[in-house]
Amino acid sequence: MSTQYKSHQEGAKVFNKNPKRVSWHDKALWFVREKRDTAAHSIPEWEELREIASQIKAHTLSHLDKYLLQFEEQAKANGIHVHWAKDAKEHNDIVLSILQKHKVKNVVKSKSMLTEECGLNPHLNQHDIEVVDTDLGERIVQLAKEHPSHIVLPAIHKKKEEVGELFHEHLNTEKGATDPTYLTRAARKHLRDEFLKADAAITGVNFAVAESGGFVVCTNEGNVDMGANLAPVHIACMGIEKIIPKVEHLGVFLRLLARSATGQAITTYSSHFHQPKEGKEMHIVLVDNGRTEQLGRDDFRKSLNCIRCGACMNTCPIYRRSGGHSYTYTIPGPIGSILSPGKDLRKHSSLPFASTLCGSCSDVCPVKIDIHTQLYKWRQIIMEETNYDPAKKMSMKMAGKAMGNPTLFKLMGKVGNTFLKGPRALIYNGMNTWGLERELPVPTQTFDDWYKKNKN
Amino acid sequence: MTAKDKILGNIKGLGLPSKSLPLVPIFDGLSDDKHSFFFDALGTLGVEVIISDNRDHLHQLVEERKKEGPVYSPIEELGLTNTLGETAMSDLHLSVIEGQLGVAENGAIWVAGDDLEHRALTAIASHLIIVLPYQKVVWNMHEAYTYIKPQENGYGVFISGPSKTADIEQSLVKGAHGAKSLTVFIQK
Amino acid sequence: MEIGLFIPCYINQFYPEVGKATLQLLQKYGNVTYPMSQTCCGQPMANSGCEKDGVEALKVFYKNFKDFDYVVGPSASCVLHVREHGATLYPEMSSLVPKVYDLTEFMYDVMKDDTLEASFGHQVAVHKSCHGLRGMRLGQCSERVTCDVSKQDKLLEQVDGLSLVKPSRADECCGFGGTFSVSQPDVSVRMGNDRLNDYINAGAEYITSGDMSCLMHLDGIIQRKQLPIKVIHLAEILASKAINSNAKNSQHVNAI
Repeated sequence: MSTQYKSHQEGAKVFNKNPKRVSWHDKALWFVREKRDTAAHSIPEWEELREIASQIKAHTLSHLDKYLLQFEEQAKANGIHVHWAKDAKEHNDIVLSILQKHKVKNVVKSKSMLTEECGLNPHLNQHDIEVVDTDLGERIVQLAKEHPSHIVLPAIHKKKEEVGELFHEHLNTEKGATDPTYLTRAARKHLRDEFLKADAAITGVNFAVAESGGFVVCTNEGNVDMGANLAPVHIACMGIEKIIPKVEHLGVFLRLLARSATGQAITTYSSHFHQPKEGKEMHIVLVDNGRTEQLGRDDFRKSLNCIRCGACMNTCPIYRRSGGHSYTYTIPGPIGSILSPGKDLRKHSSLPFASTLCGSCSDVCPVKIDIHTQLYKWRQIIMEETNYDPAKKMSMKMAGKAMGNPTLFKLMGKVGNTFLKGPRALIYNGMNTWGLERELPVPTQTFDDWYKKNKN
Repeated sequence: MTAKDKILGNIKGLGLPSKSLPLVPIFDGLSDDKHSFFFDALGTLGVEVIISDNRDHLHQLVEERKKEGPVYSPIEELGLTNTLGETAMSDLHLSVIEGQLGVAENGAIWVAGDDLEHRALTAIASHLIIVLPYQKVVWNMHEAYTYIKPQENGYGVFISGPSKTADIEQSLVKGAHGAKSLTVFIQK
Repeated sequence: MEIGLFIPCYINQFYPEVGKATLQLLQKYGNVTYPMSQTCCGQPMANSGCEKDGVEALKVFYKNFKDFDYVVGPSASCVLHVREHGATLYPEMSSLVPKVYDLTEFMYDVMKDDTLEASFGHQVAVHKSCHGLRGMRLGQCSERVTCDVSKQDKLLEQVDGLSLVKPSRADECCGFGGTFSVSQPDVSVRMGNDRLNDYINAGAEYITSGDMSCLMHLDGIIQRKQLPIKVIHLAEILASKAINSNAKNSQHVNAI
């Protein structure tokens, strides 16, 4: 498995040891961000759509119990089995028991960040069930024994040479082959065999519609359609926040999702499932795993609007220059940094600080999550409730006191200025992280002094 | 207490104030001519578009393509509705299916999966032809959902172009799992 | 009109020229006073997660500025902090908050100044500081499908001889981010380098901004790497006729 860093700083530092790779990663994602801009700007009503989407989500969250029940009732009437899981363990147990009941040995799985969040694959592996991730990017990271570094582009951190090497090892492609078309063809052939032999398919859910009791899954590759339509059992796993009230709302979200994610007008396949094919089974697992807790946090409820487009990652200047694996949570980037502290405040305490609060994430978000405001708010909670960065806490306390006392503050300014005029070796040492690669400003006369002399 | 009771109880216990549900307008189209916008969108997606007022052209097209490999279609008039086992489906060179509605803004075509004998026909063949009546084109997704009724189909899908991936260094490759090429036959 | 001049602490310490230029500009609009006992707005604490430690600073701010018609400072970032968090952290401030303006907003929105007399014969790129851009909407954000006026560009268009240079990325963050710049020096400096390369490749001689903090970070890299570009605060350009042009860059003493 890829290295699990203790903090974002640690991971980012490692990532930045290779500046060329940083440039490459930054450019690849900026390219996606630019495509998103072009797509958004082609829709005059873009901002209105975002507002409507945000309001639909706010409404749904304010009646979530009602819509979940309505969805269950409709889905059951459609012949879909509905399961409820309060946490990751229950989710994994439910999926396992369905698979065991059908004596399933081979599972194909399309992209689902929820199953990543719950750690489903290792759980099924432990019970001798083989799970093959069928999204090409996910298959690449699975073969590499890594985690996705991005929720839409799971292998965005991998170079084609690395993919070529992996495929040579696992899929018998030619040594040194790096052509994306050649490699994709090899994966197609390999995964086709997996689709055909699979006893069950697991998929994620992009939207579940309460009024119709069905759900929509979006892919470009068609792996959901291959998996779910070939296997006798289809299990769809979803967080409870994926509910929307009506079919007509799909129009709003499908217009926003792919444009925000990759700059496409829509994904190649937007697959709507409402009933199992005769003789087959369809299951839905509704998962809480901390979501009702987040729902109860006024300041952070809106994070449940997320439709997992990944736009906040593509635009985040820190994500682009630190890579998805530098984050300590399954979902990296800005959205992960506001979802994760609610799950484990201490483990993920560095994440809300992995930001300059530039606000670009909030402006690209198709469902108007105030991401950077939530980062700010998590920071307050982390500094208050944990022992994160005690040195900073102490210095902020002292500085805050000084700022309440003009005389002391001005004196400190004078002392500081004198220090900065002192010997270079005293100023530029390992303790001064600013000075590692930057000069400090050179104090001249303060404005105070100038003003005193010149005010008349 | 079951998980369901617990989850619903948690939500109810919060007593969240109700937020109103907004109305969704059906926004205007993006130009004056939805058909040419639709065809352009398909072109951008790498879709071959054939517009014809002669149904024979479709028959000719299918006859041509038969030379390349096994072809299947649930469209009765094409005379290919022989039953296919799912294993045999994996060797399909081409499937020819019907589309119900085209969406101009994004080039997506709604396919009602239960009209097909096998749901997997939307993705499994190496190549795909979708037959769509000329008049069945709407502007955008809002309009589309006023016509299609996904809940009346166990499975339905908007397809916009050949299957694709850009998971290796963002290089676009057509034919990830599903069709490597898509031809849309527009029946005038 | 009584205008209180709000000079952020680091500008007072390191960039007196910015303070002078701001004062100069504001004197056109009213009677400007600089309260000598001002300290800081408390933003460094707040963005570090210690907003309560910044309340004392806000109290001082309130005491100094409560009686003015307008309070204007040459820093979108500090003004935004006061605006967004001032009244929550220190409720007394709620009457003062609506009167606090960033210099660009004050000149463009409040005074609607279209008779600027300034000249600056250089190629200039505007670094759209995030707090000014996305916090205050001082310009068109590249993410949004809106038709917002880029207020700083509009002011600069009035300056004789100045030509605006567009970088390839219109409004990416420079990586300063307050304590982010010291807690994550690798990413912060990397972001700064990327912005600088973009401005240099676009042919800019100067980078200007309404926020000196971004410029302080960028200049730190410029000075260390001896890059062929300079930073200058927006106020200095807009006041460029009024102040001695030789004094303009006095803060850019090479520290190596």
